[in-house]
Amino acid sequence: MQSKPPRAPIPSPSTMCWISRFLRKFPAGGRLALATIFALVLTACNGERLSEAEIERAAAFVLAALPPLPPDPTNGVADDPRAAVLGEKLFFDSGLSANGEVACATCHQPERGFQDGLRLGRGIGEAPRRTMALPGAAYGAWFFWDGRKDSQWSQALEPLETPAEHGMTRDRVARHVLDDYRDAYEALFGPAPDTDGWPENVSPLIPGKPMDEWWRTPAETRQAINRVFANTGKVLAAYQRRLKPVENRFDRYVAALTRGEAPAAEDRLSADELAGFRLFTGKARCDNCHSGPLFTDHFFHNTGVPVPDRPGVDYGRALAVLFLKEDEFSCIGRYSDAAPGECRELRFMAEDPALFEGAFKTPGLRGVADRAPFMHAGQLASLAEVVDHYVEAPDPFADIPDPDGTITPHGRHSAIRPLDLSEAEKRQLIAFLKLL
Amino acid sequence: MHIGNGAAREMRMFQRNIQQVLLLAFVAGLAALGAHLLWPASAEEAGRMKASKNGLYNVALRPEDGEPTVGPIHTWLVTLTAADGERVEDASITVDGGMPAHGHGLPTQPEMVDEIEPGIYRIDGMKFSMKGQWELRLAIEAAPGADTIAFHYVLD
Repeated sequence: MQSKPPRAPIPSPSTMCWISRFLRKFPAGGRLALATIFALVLTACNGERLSEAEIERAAAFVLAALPPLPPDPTNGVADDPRAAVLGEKLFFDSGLSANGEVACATCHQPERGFQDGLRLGRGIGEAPRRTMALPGAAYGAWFFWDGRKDSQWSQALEPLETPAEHGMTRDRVARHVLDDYRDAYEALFGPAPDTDGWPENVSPLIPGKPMDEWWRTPAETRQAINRVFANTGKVLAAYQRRLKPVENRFDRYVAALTRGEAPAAEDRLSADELAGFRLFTGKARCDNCHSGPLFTDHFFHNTGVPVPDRPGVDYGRALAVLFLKEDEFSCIGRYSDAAPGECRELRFMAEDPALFEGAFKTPGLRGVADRAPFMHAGQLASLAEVVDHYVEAPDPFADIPDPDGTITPHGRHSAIRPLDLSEAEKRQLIAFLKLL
Repeated sequence: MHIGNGAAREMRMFQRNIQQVLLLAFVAGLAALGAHLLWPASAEEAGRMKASKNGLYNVALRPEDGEPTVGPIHTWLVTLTAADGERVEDASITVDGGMPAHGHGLPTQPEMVDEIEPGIYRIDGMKFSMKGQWELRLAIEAAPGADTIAFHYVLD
């Protein structure tokens, strides 16, 4: 069904006469002004649909504009379907935990957009930050809220050894995978190492006996353990990188308009949703960071969110940049499959901590309305609180010392500035966010 | 059919009013065209040589592999000549910049990695994290001396 924006109707002669007689009542300048207003009103932007320019702007946000999944040169099995199958089994395997009750899916619940709806993640214990949603994560270069891992497989390894999450050690992870999935593992990675003579319960990341025993283990054995451990991460990543957001009403609406067609009745946007889109890409400036088909620039910003009331300051990316290049599972580490020269994100990473104090990764906004509470420690309980936060734009890091304890006059840390939004505008912005 | 004097006068006045509307539309169209010419698309600006701040060099800066997009790390090429037009070799170039309107710097730390031809230098590690106007500042050290230059690049 064709539907075009309203066009100026060609006036009939009698209408022309009426116009002429009407205009004659005014002096020349007034006539010009009135004629202009008349012409503009006829072709004015109809508040009930997007203008041509707005359609073009909206097209940058649709799912169809998502480029092909970037390759992961650090993971030799990233795009191997067999690795994805094994990775999916491991993702749901609660045997990969010290108490037998925690799988990746425990926090990354598929039916909830692969997150858990809690302020802070809860595995064996309580984690320090909010569980992140997984769909589309593979499009970014950095993983975790502070981006401290540079590949999806390297990220997958850390929760396995974190006491509050899976509570394993890497030798136990390796043994479990080889015990329960040997054939699938060997099909991908060749003959498995002999685990006789491996130490029990060792990891360089767990203080006390595990760490001491780890460093007493011969290098060859440590590397063999690390190798199976890394491969476990790689199959988990092969599964997770395929998780993508699904098309929504906004995508269908904009796609129809881009084709020059009227959107289907059930895909139409309400007046509030349209106004919300205009605010999102206009006055509210959300798309400065929430840009592109995933509504994220995959980068790190301090947005002045409330500092959680607990000991210690979460500096976010500022600390991550100090350790990234030392990580043994990074792009440049020995377990990476990348060729020299393929690690440009790491090589050219902005690494001045001062740029990133209190800075966290911009989350994607697809499905955001179903992912309360919001921010890296679940500080904001609702979309209304989020919008109010952006209107107020506080700067809690202004009073917080640097990671090294010194207090330097920094000026403003928060990247966002206060907004002037009416209650109606707030409602419209939230209506748009619920659409995504 | 006879058209009386009153009707003829009406017609003339009607024509004049329509002419005024059309004139206004024409002027508005010219203004839009002028605006488009004053702020040309980013692709047109890249590659033109500009003098450095103290006049020691003429510098051109352009993306190496076509129009960059938001996200991927990519390379740029710097063409460096002295004020007399001779290519300048063995220069050392550092890159800085950001988005002045947003008060933030570059999302990466680009570096000069190679002199791929005499006087042509490759900068690697460039990345744009968002659309808009970026400023790229080069600090150049070579035989003629030290100088700086800034370029604006609009990613849209």
